[in-house]
Amino acid sequence: MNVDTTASGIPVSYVPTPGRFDELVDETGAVRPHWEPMVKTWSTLGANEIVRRQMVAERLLVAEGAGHVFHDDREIGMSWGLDPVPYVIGAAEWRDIESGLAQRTRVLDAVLDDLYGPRRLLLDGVIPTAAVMGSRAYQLAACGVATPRPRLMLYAADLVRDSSGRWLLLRDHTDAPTGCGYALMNRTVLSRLYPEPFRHLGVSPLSGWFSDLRTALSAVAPPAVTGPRTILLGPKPQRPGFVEASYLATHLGYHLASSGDLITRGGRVWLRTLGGLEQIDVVFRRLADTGSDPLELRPSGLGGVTGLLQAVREGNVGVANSLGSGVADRLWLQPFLADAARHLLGETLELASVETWWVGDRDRLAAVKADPHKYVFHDTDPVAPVASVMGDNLSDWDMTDWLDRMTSSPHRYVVQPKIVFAGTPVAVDGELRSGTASIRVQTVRIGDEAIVLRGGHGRHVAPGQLVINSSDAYGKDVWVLTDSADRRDATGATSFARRNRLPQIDLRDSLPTRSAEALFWLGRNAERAEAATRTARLILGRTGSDPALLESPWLDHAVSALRAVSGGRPAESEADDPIGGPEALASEIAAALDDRSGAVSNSLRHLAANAGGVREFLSTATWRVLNGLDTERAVLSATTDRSDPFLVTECLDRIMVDLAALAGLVMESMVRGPGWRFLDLGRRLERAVLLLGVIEATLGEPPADDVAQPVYDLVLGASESLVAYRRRYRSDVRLAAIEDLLVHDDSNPRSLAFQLDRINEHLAALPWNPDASKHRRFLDAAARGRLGEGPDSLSKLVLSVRGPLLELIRELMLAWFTHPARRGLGGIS
Amino acid sequence: MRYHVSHTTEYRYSAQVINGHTVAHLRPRQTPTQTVISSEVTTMPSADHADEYLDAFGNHVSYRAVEQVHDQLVVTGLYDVEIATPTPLVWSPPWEELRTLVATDGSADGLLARMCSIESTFITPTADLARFASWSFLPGRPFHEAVIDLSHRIFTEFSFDPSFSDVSTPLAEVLTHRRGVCQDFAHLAIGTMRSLGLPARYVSGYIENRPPPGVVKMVGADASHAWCSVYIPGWGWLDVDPTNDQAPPMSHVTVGWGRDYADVAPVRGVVFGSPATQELSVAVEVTRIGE
Repeated sequence: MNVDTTASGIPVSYVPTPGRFDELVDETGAVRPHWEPMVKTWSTLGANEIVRRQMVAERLLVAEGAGHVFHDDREIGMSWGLDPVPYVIGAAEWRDIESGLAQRTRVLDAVLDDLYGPRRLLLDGVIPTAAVMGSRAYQLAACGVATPRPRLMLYAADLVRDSSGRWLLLRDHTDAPTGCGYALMNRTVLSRLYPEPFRHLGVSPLSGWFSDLRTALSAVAPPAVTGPRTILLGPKPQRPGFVEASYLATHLGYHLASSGDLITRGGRVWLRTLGGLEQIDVVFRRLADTGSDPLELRPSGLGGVTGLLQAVREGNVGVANSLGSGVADRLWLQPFLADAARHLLGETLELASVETWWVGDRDRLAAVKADPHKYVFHDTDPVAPVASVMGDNLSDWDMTDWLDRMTSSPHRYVVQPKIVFAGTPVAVDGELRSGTASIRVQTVRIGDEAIVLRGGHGRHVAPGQLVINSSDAYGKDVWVLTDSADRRDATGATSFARRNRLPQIDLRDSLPTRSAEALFWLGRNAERAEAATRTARLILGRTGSDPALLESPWLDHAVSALRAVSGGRPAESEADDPIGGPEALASEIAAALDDRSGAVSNSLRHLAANAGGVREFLSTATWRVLNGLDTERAVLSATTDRSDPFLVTECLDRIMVDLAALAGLVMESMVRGPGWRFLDLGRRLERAVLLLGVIEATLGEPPADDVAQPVYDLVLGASESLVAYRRRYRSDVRLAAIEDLLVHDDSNPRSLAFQLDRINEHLAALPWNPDASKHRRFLDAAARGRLGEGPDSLSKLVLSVRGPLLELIRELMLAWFTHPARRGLGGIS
Repeated sequence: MRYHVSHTTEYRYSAQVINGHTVAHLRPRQTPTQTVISSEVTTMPSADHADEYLDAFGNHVSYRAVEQVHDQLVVTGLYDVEIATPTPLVWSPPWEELRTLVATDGSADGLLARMCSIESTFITPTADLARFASWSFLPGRPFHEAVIDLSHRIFTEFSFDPSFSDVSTPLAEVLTHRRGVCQDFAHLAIGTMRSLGLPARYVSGYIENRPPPGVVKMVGADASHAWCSVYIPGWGWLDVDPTNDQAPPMSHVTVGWGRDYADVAPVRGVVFGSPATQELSVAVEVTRIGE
C-alpha cells in the first residue's frame, strides 16, 4: 500500500470524490477524529510493512480455513480475501444504527407473525395480497403452524452511507442470514494485524454477541426440553457457504450437519450418528427455507430434511429462523414495511431505507415504462439468475424483456432509484483509495430484546455493481468504537447473556455419520499420499545415486511397487509393458504424482476435502499443516517439468514432512474418541492393503540374484522399515528376515501384524457396530491368512490376507456410511 | 343425498423403501351444502406415525409416515357425506366491477379470492387465455352469466380425452388441442378468468358416475374429479363444472380447494430407499347410500 502522505497525514493516493461524503476526511480535507489512530499507524508502519502485513493477513485467513472452497469435487480455488483497511464507525453514530436495527428486527418479526398467523396485513389491505402471493417464498404450508417465538431469531441488514452521509438500509435478510461467521473471521485477522490502533480506539469485542446467539438458540427449543441439543444445518461441504457455516459451528460448539445427516421419525428430528439416532431439539438453519423440507416447502428440490416442518408442527423441534421466514427477505415487502410497522406496532421506522416502489401498482408500472433508465429493477421472486439490474445498463433487447415480464406479472417486481454512495477507504492494488463498501450487520432476538452485533462484515462494491449482486468473497472488518455510554461488559456481552447460563451437554460420544465417513477417508487418503510420495521419492533417490539401476531388472520391481502404492495398473505381462530407461521411469513417476485415483495429487486433494468437512475435529495447528499440504500440492501441479528430479524431489520432501506432521498431530492432539478411531482405522486398513501391494509387486516374483539387494532395500524403504532392519540384522538383507519384519513383527508400526492389531482394537472399542460379528469374521480370516499353514509363498500370503481385508473395508462402509437415496412420490389420480 | 366414497391409491416400488412420508388430501371438508358424517384415512402397511391438521385453505390434511421397510404402499380414504341442494344465484355485478370489489373485500373469503387471482404452480395467465375469455366476458355482462357461458363453451368446444394429458401438460397445449380431462378444464377455466384479473379457485372432489339404466355399475369406474369456483362478493362462492356443464353442480362431493391442483393433490410424499421405479394405480368408488 502506498502511504506517501499529504500534510494532514493522508496517503496521496487517497482522493475523495468532490461533493460526496467521505468516511476518512471531512469537507475541509482533515482526517475525521475516529480515523486518526489508523492514519497514524499507516504512516508509522510505512508502505513495505503494510504490504507485508497484508500478506500475513491473507495467510492468517487461510489458516482460519477460508482459503479454498471446493465445488462439485473440482476445485475452483476461490480464495477469500480480506481488505486490510477496516470500516471504522464512531460510537454515537452507531447508537442510531443499533436502535434502528433493533426496531426493524421487531417489526419484521411482527410481520412474519402476522403473515403466518392472522394475516391482518392482507385482510386490512395494508399489503396487497398479490405482492405476497407472487413470491414463492411465502410458504403457505407454514401458515397456522404453531412455531416457537421469535420467528426471526437472527436478522441481518445491508447498510450503506449515501453521498450525503446518511445511513441507508439496502436490504433485509430474514431467511438464513450469512455474515456473522465472516465477521468473526475478519476480526481474528485484523485485530492481530493492528494490535495498537485496535486497543487505542476501543473497538467493541464480538464474543459476547455469540453467547447471546447461543442463548437465543436454546430459547427456541420445545418448552419441555431443559438441555436442548442444537445442530447447525449447513450446506454440503462442496457448496458455497460451507466455510462460514463450519467456522460458526466450531465457534459455537455445535455439530455441523448437512441435510443427509438428519432424518425425521415419529414427528421428531434425529441426527444419524454412529451410535444410532440422536434426537435434536433445535436446528440452527443455514440453508434457505425453500431448500429445507422437500415434503412441504416449495419450490421443492430434493434437498433438505424431509418432514422438518411436520416436526415443528407437532412441537418437537425449534427451527431458527422459523421455516417460511424467507418471505420477508424479498424486496416486495420494502414498499409496505413502514405502513405495516404502523399497523401492527403503532411505530414509525427509525432507519431510512432505499426508496422502493411496487410495480404491481398500475401507476408505477406506467411511470417505469415511461422512463425505465432511471431505475434499478428487481425481480422479487427470481427464476432467472439475474434478479437485479440497473435500467441504464440494459441493452434494448434486455430492456424489452424486463418490461414485458413486468407487464405480465407486475406484482413480482419492484424498482428503486439509483444510489450514490459515500466514499470510504479501501485498499485497491496496494494503495489506499476512496472506494465504496456496504456493511452487513446482524441482530439476534431473545424474548422481546433485539441485540445488535457491534461489528459486521463489510463488502466492497465495485463501481457500477449492485450491492445486491455483490459476493461475500472480499471482506472488510467493521470496527464499532465504544465510549463511556456503553452498557456492555468487557466481552461485549449483554446482561441477558450473563443472566442466562446455558446447561452443559456432553456430546463426547456422538459422532455424526458424515463426520465419521470423512475422518475415515481422511486417514485413508493421508496414508495413500504418504505411501506414494515416499515410494516415488525413494526411487528418484536410488536412481540418482546409482544410474545403472535404470537399465537393470530392478526397474521392473521399482515401477511395480510405485504402481501398487499410487493406484496404477499392474503390468499384465512383461511383453505387454516393457519398462526401461530414464524416460519410462519419468513418465511412471509423473503418473504417480498426478491425478489418477491413488496418486499423490489426487489423494492430497481428497484429503483437503475430507478435512474441510470435519474441521470442528481438527486443531488450528493441524489446519496449518493441511494448508501447507494444499500449497505444496499446487506447487507440485505447477511443476510442469517432472523430468527434473531435483525439483520433484524437493517438492516430495516437503510433502513428506507435512504428512509426517499431520500423522503426529493426529496421534498427539486428537482426543481418543470415536472420531480419532475412525481416522486411525482408515489409516491402518489402507496401510495394510498398500503394504501387501508393495510386497506382491516386489517380492511376488523373486528378484534375480544380481538385483536382490537393491530390491530388498526398496521394499524396506517403501515400508519405512529400512532403518529398523539395519539396526536389528547386522548383515545382508535376507528374504526371511524381511518377511518377519514387515509381516509378523507386531512391534514394527509398519508391519502387517501391527496394523491388524490396531484394527482389532478399534473394532472392539467402537461401541455401536450392528455388524460386529461379520466384521470380526473377516478380520479373523485376514489374521489366519497372515499365519498361513505351511511354507507358502509370499504371494499366496498376500492373496489370503488382502481378500478378507478388502471385504472388511467394504462391509464397514456399508454398515456405517450408506446414505439412503430419496425420491419424490408423485402421482395424480 | 348421501354418498359413500372410497379412494385408494396404491404404489408398488421396484425396490424396498426404508421409510416413506405421505401427505394426503383425502378427508372432505364441511361446506354450506356438504355435511361430513364420517371420514378416515388408512395406510397399508399401517402408519408408524400419523397427524391430522388443517392447511392454509382450511382443508383437512393427513400426514402418515411408514417407518419400516416396505415395497408397496396403499393409502385409502373412506368417508360418508350428505349433500344438500345449493341455493341458486340470481344476481351478480357486471364482471368489470369485480376486481375492485374483491380488492377492497376485508373478509377471509375476499382474501382467498385475491390469493386466487394471480399465477400459481400450474396456472400462468396469458394473453391467449385472455382472448379465449373475452368471447364470454362481454362488456357489462353479469359476472356469473359470463362464467356459466365460459363453462358451456369449454364443455362444447373441448373433448374429454384421458389419453391426451397428465398433470404436467401445460395449459397452452390444452388450449391449442382443445382436449383434456376434468383437471385440465378446471385449470383452463381458472386460467382464463385470472388472465382478466378475476379470482377463481380449484376444487377437488368426486362425482358419481351413473351407468345408463339397466347396466350394472362397474367397480372402480368412478374417478376423482375437479372443477372450479368463483367468488361473488357479498354472496359467496359459486361452483362451476366445465367438464359437465353444470353451475352449480348438484351432486358433487367436495374434498377441498386451493389455487390449483398442487394445493390439494390427493396423495403426495417422499420415500427413502434404493433408487427405484414406482407403479401407481388409483381406484375410486362413489356409492349413493340414501336420498
